[in-house]
Amino acid sequence: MKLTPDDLRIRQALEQIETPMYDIAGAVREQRARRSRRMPLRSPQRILAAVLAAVLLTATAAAAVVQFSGGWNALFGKNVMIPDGLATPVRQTQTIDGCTITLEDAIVSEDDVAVLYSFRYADNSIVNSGTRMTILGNSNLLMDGSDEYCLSSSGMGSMDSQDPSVEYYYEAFALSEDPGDRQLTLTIDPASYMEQTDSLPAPMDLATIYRSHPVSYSEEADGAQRLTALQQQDCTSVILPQSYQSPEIQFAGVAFQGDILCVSLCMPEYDSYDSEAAQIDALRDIRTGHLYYGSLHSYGDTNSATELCETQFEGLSEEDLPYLEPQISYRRCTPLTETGWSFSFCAPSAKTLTRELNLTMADGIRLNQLTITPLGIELTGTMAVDPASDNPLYFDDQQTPVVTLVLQDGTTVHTVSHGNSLSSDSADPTTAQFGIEYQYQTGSESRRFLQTETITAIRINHATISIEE
Amino acid sequence: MDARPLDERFAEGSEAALADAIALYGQPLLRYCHHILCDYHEAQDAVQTTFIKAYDNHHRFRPGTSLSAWLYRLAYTTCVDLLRHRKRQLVTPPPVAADPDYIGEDLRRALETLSPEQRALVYSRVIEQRSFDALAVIYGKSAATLRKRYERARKKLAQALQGTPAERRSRAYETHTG
Repeated sequence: MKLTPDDLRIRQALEQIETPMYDIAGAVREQRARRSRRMPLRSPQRILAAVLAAVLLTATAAAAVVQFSGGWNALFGKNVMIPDGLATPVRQTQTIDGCTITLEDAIVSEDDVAVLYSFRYADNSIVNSGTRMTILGNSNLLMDGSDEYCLSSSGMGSMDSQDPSVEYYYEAFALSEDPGDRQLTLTIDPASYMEQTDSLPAPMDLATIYRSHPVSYSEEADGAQRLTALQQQDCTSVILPQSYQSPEIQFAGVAFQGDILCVSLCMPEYDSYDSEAAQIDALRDIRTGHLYYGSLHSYGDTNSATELCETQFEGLSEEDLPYLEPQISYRRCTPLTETGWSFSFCAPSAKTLTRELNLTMADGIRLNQLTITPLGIELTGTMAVDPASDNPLYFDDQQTPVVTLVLQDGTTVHTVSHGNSLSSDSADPTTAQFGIEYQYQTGSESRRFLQTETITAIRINHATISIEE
Repeated sequence: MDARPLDERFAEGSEAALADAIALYGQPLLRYCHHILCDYHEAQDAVQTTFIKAYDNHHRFRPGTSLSAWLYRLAYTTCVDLLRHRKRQLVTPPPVAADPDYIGEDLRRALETLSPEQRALVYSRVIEQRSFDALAVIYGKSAATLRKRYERARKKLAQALQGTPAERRSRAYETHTG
């Protein structure tokens, strides 16, 4: 990869940022262990309430739910619930170069906008398969033509769609101003697709190549240093499996980095919208047929527009080289559309609720604020931490408050926490700030959405907060 | 030892594959999150959450696709979620001058002129030297779009760095190394 002078200056500035090592494995292990120790506390009354709620929900579901895109089911479960009037059916379809995107529905609230859209090919071919992946461009939400109101976005695609000819996408955008009745424009950048071949055998004499100029480099060696060292090796006899179709992808050489075997390909800088690349997936031992898989590393050369794609293998030595055959896969990115998609719509915004709280829970947890939107709930607060402890900062799942809602019709809505953030307070090392997000649940596997006006109370552990008009 | 590729083992939910993935991608992801969040402690939380999310959703990962790209995408969305919380927490005090996050104040200010996506792109390009096509897989956007966005981000950051001590240090380094 060729870096410009600006790139280099930025790189040198960013290299001044120190990121100390951290025991990630230990932290993950500890958090998972704590989670697995969590025992759900279910009193007979709570079980009874849950059963009653489920019965009531089933009884009222038909009345409360209107027709909406099947994408909601694909993304959020077969029992997903969207109250009448909350989602605005947009149903705008645009086909560009044989690719159709339909903006199906939108949920607009005072704080955020969620959109659901689908992608399909005009010929109904499969959107994603093991070897071919459709890549949609970035999506943005503009308000009155400007992107300055969008604070953040998060989204998901349907990974387990029943119909492989359609893929659904859900995106939620947090906004800094009420988007109600203002012109909203969803833009989606051009799409491309990536095709990948299976691993193809590349017969070559690795031992002879290595011995033509034995190369060993340090872990710190950059792309240019690696390429320069490998250029001394004689690789002229190597013919890669697709050398006719992709002559610019070449075998670069074989080297050792300590006791790690490094086998590399080189190719032009892979930054085009319409380009090819390849990688060494494995080495096959021709004596036994055993496949050794390695880890992939990519190095750019700042002096030439060349990229080195290196696969590193542990546990193999120079004595193994005569018996190892690289297995190479190729991938190609091809533009699908020349232009992107743009959908404009307008909808009134559903109400959101914000309440200042002053609740003290166990373990020094204080809840400060509650925000309720049709998409979910956010609780923010502070918790006590031990500044002398070496343990990483974490939010124990056992400490996560249980939140349930009571609706006007008497039903109870359960929530599930789907993410929390915790940040230490540098001004007060004994306190950390947290935020927890909850989604509304129906049943155990489906999500629901809510009109906040229908909520009469919220229960946070044992505290009940009445939601007045 | 299970010699199958890591992505295949990871998709099956193997504990050993989780440990291997953390060993292979953990520290690079920590650096990536640190550059997006500009906060080392939040980056620790983000990378920890990323691996827990990844393990919980291992069945959603498709073997044969890039595990690294999938993890980077998860890490990116985790960082964006953390920043969203931060924005909503209006009471969050600004970082103190004691530089607890291993980033100089001038460099932090320059980085904060960029959006999280721009910080992620700049880091991926200039530090990790990833191609735009590799980034397209991570961010689910076209390479052409990412190139345009990166160029805008680079221009903005280069301007923000102009004359800062961080930039002067990097210029001195440049002069020194020729």
